[in-house]
Amino acid sequence: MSLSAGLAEAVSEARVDPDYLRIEKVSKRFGSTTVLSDLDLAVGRGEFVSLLGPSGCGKTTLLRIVAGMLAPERGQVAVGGRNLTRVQTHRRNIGVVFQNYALFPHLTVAENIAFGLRAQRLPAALIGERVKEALAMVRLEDFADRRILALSGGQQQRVAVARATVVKPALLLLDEPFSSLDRKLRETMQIELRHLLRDLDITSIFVTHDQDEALVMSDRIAVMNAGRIEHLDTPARVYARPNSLFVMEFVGQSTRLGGTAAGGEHGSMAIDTGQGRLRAPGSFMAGSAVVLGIRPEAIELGEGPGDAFNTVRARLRDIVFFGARTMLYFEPANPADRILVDLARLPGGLAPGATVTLRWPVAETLVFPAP
Amino acid sequence: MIATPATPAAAPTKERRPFDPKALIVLPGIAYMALVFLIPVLRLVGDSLRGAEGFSLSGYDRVLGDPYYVQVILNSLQLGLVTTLGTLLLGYPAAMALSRAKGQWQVLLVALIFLPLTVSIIVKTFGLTIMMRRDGIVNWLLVNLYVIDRPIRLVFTEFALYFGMINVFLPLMILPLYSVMRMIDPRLGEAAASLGAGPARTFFRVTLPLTAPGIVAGVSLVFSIAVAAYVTPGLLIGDRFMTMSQVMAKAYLNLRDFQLGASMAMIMLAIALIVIFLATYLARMGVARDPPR
Amino acid sequence: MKQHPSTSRRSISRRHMLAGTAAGLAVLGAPAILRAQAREIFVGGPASPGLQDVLFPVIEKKHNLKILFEGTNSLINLEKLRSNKAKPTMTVTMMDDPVLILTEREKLIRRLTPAAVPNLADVIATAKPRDAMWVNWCQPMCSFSHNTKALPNGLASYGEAWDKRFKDRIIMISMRITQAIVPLVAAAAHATGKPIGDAAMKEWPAGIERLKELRPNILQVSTNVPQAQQLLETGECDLLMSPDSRSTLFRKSQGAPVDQGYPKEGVVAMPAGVALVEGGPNQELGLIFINELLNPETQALISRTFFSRPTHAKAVLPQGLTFPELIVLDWEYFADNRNAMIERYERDLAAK
Repeated sequence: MSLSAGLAEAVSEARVDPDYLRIEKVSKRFGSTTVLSDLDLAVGRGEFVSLLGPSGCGKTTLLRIVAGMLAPERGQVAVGGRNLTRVQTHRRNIGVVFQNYALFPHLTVAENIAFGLRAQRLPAALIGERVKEALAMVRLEDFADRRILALSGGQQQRVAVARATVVKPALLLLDEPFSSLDRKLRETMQIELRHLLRDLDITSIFVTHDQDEALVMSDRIAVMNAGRIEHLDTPARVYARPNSLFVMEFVGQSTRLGGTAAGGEHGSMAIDTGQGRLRAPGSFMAGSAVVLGIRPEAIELGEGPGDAFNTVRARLRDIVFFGARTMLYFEPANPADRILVDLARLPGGLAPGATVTLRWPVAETLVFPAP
Repeated sequence: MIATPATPAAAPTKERRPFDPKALIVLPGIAYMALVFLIPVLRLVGDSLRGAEGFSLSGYDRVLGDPYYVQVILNSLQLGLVTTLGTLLLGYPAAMALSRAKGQWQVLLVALIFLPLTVSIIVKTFGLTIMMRRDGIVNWLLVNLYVIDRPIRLVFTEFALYFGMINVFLPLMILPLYSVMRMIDPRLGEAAASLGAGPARTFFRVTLPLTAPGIVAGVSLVFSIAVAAYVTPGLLIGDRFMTMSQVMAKAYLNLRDFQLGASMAMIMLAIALIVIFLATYLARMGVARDPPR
Repeated sequence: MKQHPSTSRRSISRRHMLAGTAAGLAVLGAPAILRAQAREIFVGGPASPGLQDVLFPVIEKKHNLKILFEGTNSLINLEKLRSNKAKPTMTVTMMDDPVLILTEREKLIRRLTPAAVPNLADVIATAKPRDAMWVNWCQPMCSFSHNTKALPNGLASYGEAWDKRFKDRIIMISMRITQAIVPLVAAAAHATGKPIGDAAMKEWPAGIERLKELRPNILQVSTNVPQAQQLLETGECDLLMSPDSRSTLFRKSQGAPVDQGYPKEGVVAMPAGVALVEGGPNQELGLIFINELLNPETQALISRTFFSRPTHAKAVLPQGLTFPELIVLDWEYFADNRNAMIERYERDLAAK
């Protein structure tokens, strides 16, 4: 099954039951610190939603509240229409893959996977069968009788996923499960896990602070900041149309120019910046401080047709080569600003020190109130 | 599926490893133990087999063939087992709390549990005798809690004995339990719960097996010292409850019957070893593996 | 430092004496490295108060002596003499008679003569056992000790101890401790009608049978006299059978509510002996030491300090201290039968 076909299927299923996981008005404080305040989130059946945010934004707290390991002060959590707010963890049927996997070191691989099935008091023969299937699914058939400590990090992670999914949980929570793997393995495992969960049709909440991971894996991303969800949408829209400066800064890179709104009309306005007067869609009261953001791949070299493009001149400071792409760093007029250009191919003769003309479509200029 | 198929790592083989000179650091310890333990034990073995006319097993016969001494052995066993069980039941939750406590609480709890170790056992036991008197705090509590009408005799009772023994030996149980428990990932309990295991299953299938090494260490430590305890039982119950240690002291100091004392000592050593091996074996075979339902 | 190093543990070792044999064994043979030089004598004796703090300084000053003392119990003392027989390290040993009998049999001590110890001539006959093989430097008295709040007048007769009102109120002292012979002989006398003395002592198995009837009243058969003393003083028990006057009257003088009993059947003399070690260092000084212990003036000091009857006939009793006629027992018989007595005591009386 191709990734896009799977995606389409998941999205359609989510539409069938868009409130499969429903988190309503959840608040949590630790002492005098409010970690979550009146948070709402709905996740559709079969969806894979990432909670993305910096450490301390409340994403792990939210995960633990959903799992029942923490009790919220206010609000409720329901899965499949069943209110779980007062239900103990072991009666919720919510699987968890922990950051450190939390595998039972005194049990073998097979025994770890069988743990949840035994807790359900299934017949021994059925347990054996399900364990075998789960081992095959994560391709660890030959490791059934191994001790956990004899496994590599990637193998341990697969055991953790098998253990959490073999019980057919109503919901799967993943708490930064890739953070202890090296980069190469992480990328492989991300895609593998994505496919696996899609095949199993398990609704999943994935906590991460790694935006790339969130972009790669998710049906939708909830970007969290200071105990709130700032933006909940598909990866493509979160990236292209972040609905706050925080989201723009946290997800991906961007050119950032501070300025002052200078008036405008019909949904288009002029902004005075260190790089001169620019235009952007939207309307701000004249004189308000704003920040412009432009994703680096929206910017091209050279002048464009006047009306539809913003144009600036800037001195090239550095060229950083990433293989498939090349990133150009320019010197902004205002040192608080930042100008980045992402090019698929570097034109010949371009070297640091050159002053270059840059352009981007007005429509791709994001504008936010200054913080 | 995308990732490369995993192959099992080479199975561990029994190849001879080259001798590591770092292993020599055990030598001073072995030499010391040979000097202060092995040689005296061998001499005890010799004494236990030497009667008035050379080699004889009469020492063992006099102990094992005499219902009085058999009762003494049973008393010592009971002393060791009750003390071990009592310290385990009280010490396990205490060690658990200690391993979960944070910051200043942990400092306070550690101090509460381990400071008593700095008090001389004689002083502590004398203090316990004072507590057990008719005008002591235990009677006062029992009367004021309406458990009893008027003060009862507690000194030189088995209640006093076990109360005191458990008090004296509790830190020795908590210490190994705590050192094992603090190494256990608290996420394991949460993982078990997320897999549908209730508190009881989590305890018996996860917590207990993982703390088994601490239990074995604590049980071995407490039992082997408690079964041989001399000062504390001597002061708390005295001759009303004769133990193997009392008989050994009597044999050596009063009767000057070295064969009797040495035979008793060897029997005590055997009992302690059997219990320690049994505890280790049970922990390995019994709880360490998750048995089929 | 004035004291022998190993004696610095004196105050603790009194508590340890019965409880911790390790401490005692640790000092075995320790003085072997110290050889007698100058005016020094080595004395082994009981770790009881009064010796080093009161008595010895007086003797040291008077005779320009240095007394190096090791306090431990008699049997450990005996063990030390035995193991150093080839090269004795002790000049003088202070022990109970039942243990001194063993040292005599093993030829570890040397007979005292009036020529070497002039004061011996005036020592009462019962205090020079076995033709002055050793001498009793005092006779503490032994009967029973009672709590004066519970029993202001003590008991008129040992027989009253069997009364039901003393249920759980009596602590007996273990037969491992010499003084325990007194209640056993009293019980034997009670059972057989013989007076307290050697004849009754030889009937000791009858005494055991009689003591069995006392069991409901026995709170404990104690090997730890300080603990038993403390329980008596705090009223946890009424009778302690039996420490001797050294501890009872000493505690009484300190204000503790205890007193020595004077039952009509009689009070027994405990034997506090001193002997010259065969072949020990500085023997002449040892003889001076022994002679001084028997000197009437020193005897008065001893009587005052140890609440015991002096053994020198001409010693003047300190004020306020009187002694009844004391019964002297055959300690050889006791020494020879003690192990059997210990066994019976433990099996028939002590166990719950």
